[in-house]
Amino acid sequence: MRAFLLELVAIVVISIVLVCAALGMLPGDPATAWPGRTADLLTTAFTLRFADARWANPSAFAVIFRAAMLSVTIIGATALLLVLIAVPLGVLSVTRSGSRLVQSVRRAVSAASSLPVLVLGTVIYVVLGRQFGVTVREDTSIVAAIVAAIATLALGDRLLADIVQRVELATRAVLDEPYMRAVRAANLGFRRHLLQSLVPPVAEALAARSMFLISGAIVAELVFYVHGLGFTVEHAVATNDDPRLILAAAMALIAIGLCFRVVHRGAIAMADARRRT
Amino acid sequence: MTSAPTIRSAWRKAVGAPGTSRGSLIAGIVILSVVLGANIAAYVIPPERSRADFLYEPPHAQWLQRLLWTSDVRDTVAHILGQSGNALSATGVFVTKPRPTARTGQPFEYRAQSSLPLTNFSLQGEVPNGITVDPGTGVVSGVPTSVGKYAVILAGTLDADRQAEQHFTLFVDDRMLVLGADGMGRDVLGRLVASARYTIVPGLIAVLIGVAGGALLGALGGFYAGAAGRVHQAVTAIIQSVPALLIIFITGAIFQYNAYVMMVVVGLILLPETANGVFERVQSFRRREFVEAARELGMRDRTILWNEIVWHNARSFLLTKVTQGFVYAILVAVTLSYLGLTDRNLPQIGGMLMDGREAMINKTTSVVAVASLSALLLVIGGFSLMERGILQTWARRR
Repeated sequence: MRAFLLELVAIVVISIVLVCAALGMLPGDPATAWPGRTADLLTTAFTLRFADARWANPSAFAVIFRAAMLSVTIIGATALLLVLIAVPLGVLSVTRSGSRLVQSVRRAVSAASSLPVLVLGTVIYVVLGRQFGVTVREDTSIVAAIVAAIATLALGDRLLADIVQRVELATRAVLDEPYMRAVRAANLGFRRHLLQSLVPPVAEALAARSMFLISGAIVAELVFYVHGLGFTVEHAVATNDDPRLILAAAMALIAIGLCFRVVHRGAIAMADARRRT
Repeated sequence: MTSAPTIRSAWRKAVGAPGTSRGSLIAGIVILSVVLGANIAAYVIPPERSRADFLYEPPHAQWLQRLLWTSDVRDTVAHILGQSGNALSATGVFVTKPRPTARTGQPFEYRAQSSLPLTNFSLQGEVPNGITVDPGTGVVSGVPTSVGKYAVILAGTLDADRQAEQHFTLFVDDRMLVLGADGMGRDVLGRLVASARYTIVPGLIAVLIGVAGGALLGALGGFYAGAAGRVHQAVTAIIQSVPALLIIFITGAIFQYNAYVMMVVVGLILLPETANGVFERVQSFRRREFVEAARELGMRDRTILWNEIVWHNARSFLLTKVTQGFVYAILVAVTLSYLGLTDRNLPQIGGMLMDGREAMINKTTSVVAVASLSALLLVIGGFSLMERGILQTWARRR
């Protein structure tokens, strides 16, 4: 536990130093970007304002808080959707390997998953606009944009296919255990134990792909104009905004990554007593 | 009727069935050869060639557009002029739209149809030399003789007081374009070929840093442990602590999104995953009996590490990382240009994809989006097929 906490602290410190060093090189006033001055952010968080007109000049705290909520919604909902699709599909493709429907769905998921988020997002954007008349723009419904971003992120970048594959491997391993064979032969319920056994591999898979999930979320936000953290950072960097604001948004993004690590450890600790330490 | 099975069987005999190692390998090599050829052409052909202002759209491009339910006209306006000269809203008087491009020396024809009975048609505005209109039927036809961009107005009389007009832009060019032109009249194929400049060479830089650097770091760290191991851990932890795209955006802003500098950054992002993979493999093998035996036989550590451990046990992994590295580098370049962070005037797949998607939504042209998306998927698929083919060949040899 202590080692894990130390790891988290080290990641936070390294991230701050790295981002600050990079921000110091950005065009503008480098003095505002040094770590010593980042403390200002805490005191001026409610008074600092983004320069970009697109946010109608609200306080940085409000913008980053809203952006973080949107990003967390997208990433969290995508993770949930991935689990909800991947676990039943992975289990069914092992237990019902003869079913044509299950195998077709499995193949369709693999095919869709092979597309990068950018490509899939563009295709979904065009289909929504042309076939359903829903043109996702900055001034249109945020719900449509968020739903499209979640669907894109869940299906693209091999995330879903990876998790389904891990679930299949874990399911095969669990079903091959002698006690499980005995339980199945006796026609007793085995699903609860099976699902419990799937928590570590799914958590591992999500944690292993968390950085891809966050990067994918940034791309999806930019494709569908969702004003999440990725969109905020990209526009703040592109418009040469105050480095402290970029730092704050970047740290919020890094914090989401750290949350993934914590949830991953927690999930494994709950499911597997041997790894609780 | 028998030609299809014959061709298929001949193909299977020569190349192998789809999905087999030989078939995948050859398909991958063919696709990547095309990309490489385009890459070389992009450096040889002057960039002006792919930045032409107005170009020709051939019949099959129009067929593709019809297939994808798009119209191929821009800035078309129809209105009826009242007695006082005020324009009355009457969009939709003309139910047909002309194609936007024509070629010098080739016949051009546009059969205008209207929802109201119009007579006495005339051409106004900038009319290309050689193009005329039949006053009775409204058929615009002729052989354009001079290259240029023309703002043409097709007018028809509704009754004594009112007149309907259709405004459109006609690009007249003297060259044949295989994939037609984009919304600004630029050659789509020429821009695609020019965009190959941002695939192989930048990808090579990223792969050299990411995979070669990662392999070196991981192999030394895994084999010698101690200080080398700590260096490996520190470097990978530092790079992995910040999300990849965040690093790319910030360094991009510092270096004005220079393609080659960005690929150095991409290489650094790829480095930890490769280093960790090689580290784990080397570490698991360094205390095996065959390593001790090789040492007893007088083999040098360097030879044992690279020839016996890395080559035999990590080459498949490294090959996967090479292809993934190329694909990731290309996708980063595409993403940056898609977001408009690089120079939008440069021909890049991302920029074309962005322009193409808006053109598809606005129902102007589909060729740009379809061509750029297909090119991107083809490149990614080429790398994937080649990787699969090589891995299957190695596995079969084992």
